[in-house]
This record gives sequence, C-alpha cells and structure tokens, in this order.
Amino acid sequence: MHITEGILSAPVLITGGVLAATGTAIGLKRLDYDHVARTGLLAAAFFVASLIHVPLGPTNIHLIMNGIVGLLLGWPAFPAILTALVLQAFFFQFGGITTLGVNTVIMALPAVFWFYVCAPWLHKKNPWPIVAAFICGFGSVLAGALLVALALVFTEENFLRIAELVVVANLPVMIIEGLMAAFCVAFLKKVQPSLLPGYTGDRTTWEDKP
Amino acid sequence: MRWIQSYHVGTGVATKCLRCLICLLCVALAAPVRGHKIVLFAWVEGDRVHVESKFSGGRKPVSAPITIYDLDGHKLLEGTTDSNGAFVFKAPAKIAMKIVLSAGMGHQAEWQVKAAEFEHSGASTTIRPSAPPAPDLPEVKTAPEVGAPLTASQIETLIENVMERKLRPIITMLVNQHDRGPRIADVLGGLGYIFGLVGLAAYMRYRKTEAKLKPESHDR
Repeated sequence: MHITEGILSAPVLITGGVLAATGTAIGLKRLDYDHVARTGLLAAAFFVASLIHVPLGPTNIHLIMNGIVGLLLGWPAFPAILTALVLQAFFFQFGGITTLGVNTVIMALPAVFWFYVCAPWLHKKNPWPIVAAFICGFGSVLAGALLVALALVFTEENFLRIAELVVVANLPVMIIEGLMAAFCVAFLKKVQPSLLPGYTGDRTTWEDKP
Repeated sequence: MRWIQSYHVGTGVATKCLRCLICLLCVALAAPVRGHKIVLFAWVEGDRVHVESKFSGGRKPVSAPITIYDLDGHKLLEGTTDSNGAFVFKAPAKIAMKIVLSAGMGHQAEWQVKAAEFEHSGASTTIRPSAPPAPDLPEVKTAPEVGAPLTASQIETLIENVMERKLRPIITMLVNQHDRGPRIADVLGGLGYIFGLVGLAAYMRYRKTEAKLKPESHDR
C-alpha cells in the first residue's frame, strides 16, 4: 500500500501533498487535547500494524488498520497516519519521503470517508454497529487500494488492470481488517462506549462538545 | 456508586488500550518481522551482469519485470526475474547502466552498475568471447597439464574462476546484509517518537491550563 520513490510523476506527488496537508490541517484543528492520547495510541497501532505480514495471496501484504484509526478518530486520522508514515519511512524504509503526501491520502482519506458513512450506525441496535465496523475496516482498505491504482494510472496507464491487481492482492487484508474492526467495536461497546464517535451518553464526546 | 463504577471504567480505558497495543506489539515482534521493501542488488562478472532481488524479509519477487536503461534513460533490454528473484544478462555494452525492477502496485527498486565495474572484471571477455555458460561450470578442469607453460590469459581465467567460486558466499552475504529489515530497535524508536509527541501535547495542555488557573478544568 506504500508507494515507493521514483514511480509517481510530479503532478501526482504535488496533488497528494496538497491533499494530505489540507487533511492534516483539518485534523489538527479538530483534535483537542482530550483526544491527543487516543490519537497517539492509534498512530502507534498503525505504525506497528504494517509489520504484521499476511502470508496470503501472490504478493507481499501487511495489515494497515486505517479503518479502525479512522472510525475512532475521524479527521484526526490524517495527522495520526501522517506521523506514523513519516516514522515508517525513516525507520523501515517503507514508502518514501517524496511519496509521503500521496501515501497519507491513500490511507487516511478512505478512513475519514468511511468514518462519516459508518459512525452514525455505531449506536444503533445490534447487529448494525458490528456490520458498520466491518464495512469500515473492509472498505477503508478497498478504497485505499483503489486510490493506489488511481495514483499509478499516470505511470502504468491501465486503471482497471492495476485496480484489479491491487484489490485482489489486498483482499485477505480487507477481510481481516473488517473482522478486526468488528471485534474492536463490539469490545468497546461493551466496556467503554464513550470511546466510539457520536456517543451521546453521560459523557461528552468531541462530536457534541461545545 | 454508579459514578464510581463508571469512573473506574474510565481510568481503565487507557490501560486497556495500552494492553491491546502491547499485545499487537508482541504479535508484530513474534512474527518474523517483514516489510515489503524491495531490495535490488547487481554485480558484474565478466561481461554478464547478475541481478538479485527480494522483498525485505526474504520473499522473492517471481517473474517481476526488469528493465535496463543506460544513464540517459534509453532502454537497453528487458527481462523478468526467475523463481529465485534473480536475473542474469549479457551486457550489451560496457557502459554504466541503471537496473529498474518493478514488482507492481507501486513497488520499485533501482540499482546502478558503473562502467568501472566492467573494467575490473572485463578482461575475461577477450578469452571467452562466445558467451560462456553458467559461471560455476568446471572450466577449471580444462587447465593444461602440469609442466606446460601457462599463458597469461589462461592464468587469468583460472584465477577468475576460482575467485568467482570463493567469493560467491561473500557476495550472497553482502546481498543479505544490504537487506536491512526493520528491527526491534526501529519499532521501539518509532513508538517512542509517537509517545513523545503525545507527551509534548500533554505538556502544552498543562501549560495552558496552568496559565488559565482554572481549578475546574481537570480532566477525567
């Protein structure tokens, strides 16, 4: 999912950089001090998750966890994922410095999109929260794969062929991450529903804070 | 009582999150640490260039397209890796060239072969002009019988063959060393940075609330 240096053309890199900067700015604006610790923990989880290799399918794939990060954070997923990607680039040589913007958009934009789609379902009756979480985890990887294909279109030309390749390769990850998100939400609903976005119980969450 | 209970749950969340993270970390460290960076390595033997490639962690890119360019960006030749992620080709000319391997989906690696590398190992081409087969074939056995004077070029061929055999493990070792996968220190370092940033934010918050001197602004 991390695109390496020297593949993408300058316009793609610049577009990715601008989008990532915008998303990060919005994310930092929405991030208040109360949720910094949570954002940090999820960034740490994202950072580590890419080391968990999934030995299925034809190529080398690993967990991404952008769905859970997005579902629990919303827009602050952008700064969290950007931070983790910077560290991955420096420590693991995953991706690259010039492709940082594009990679951030590839993983954070689907996360925020599925946050808006799935978060309203988290406090409905069972089984909707679980279904929504699965869709969020699954969809975030799927949309990320499609964005990879979109970014590569300008170098490899055939969108459908690349998209098919990336989506099929990441199919096991999609299913695993969907299940992980579902378990995560089921667990949090039991022990600490206020961690889920849009919670309107006795405690305030950032969706309804003044 | 209800409040106390919920308070307990509240403080437990951080621990729970941390516990989950530690579990995740354990899984990450227990599993063979593998990424998906591609490592490409090439060296010159005679007039042939050997290319080896693999994903960091050991998996080999099978039948991945390799393209050779000269330094001006002109395509010299194309090929695909074999089942070991290796590719051997006869250099079309003794010039510097760029080897690009693309394993698809945004994974790509490059390696440059310098013209000087041909200079050093190119002498043998004058002796065996008709592209010799695999380098580890027993060419040494064709050495002339004892007593016959060896020509300079024959000695050179002999030495080159022996060197090739002796150096192969070292080259393999270098290839492996070149692939420096993520280590535990890297993982811990990255986590340290993230927690450091969180600490920085907590510190800034502390400064802010202290400046306001609001007693009611305590966190749960």
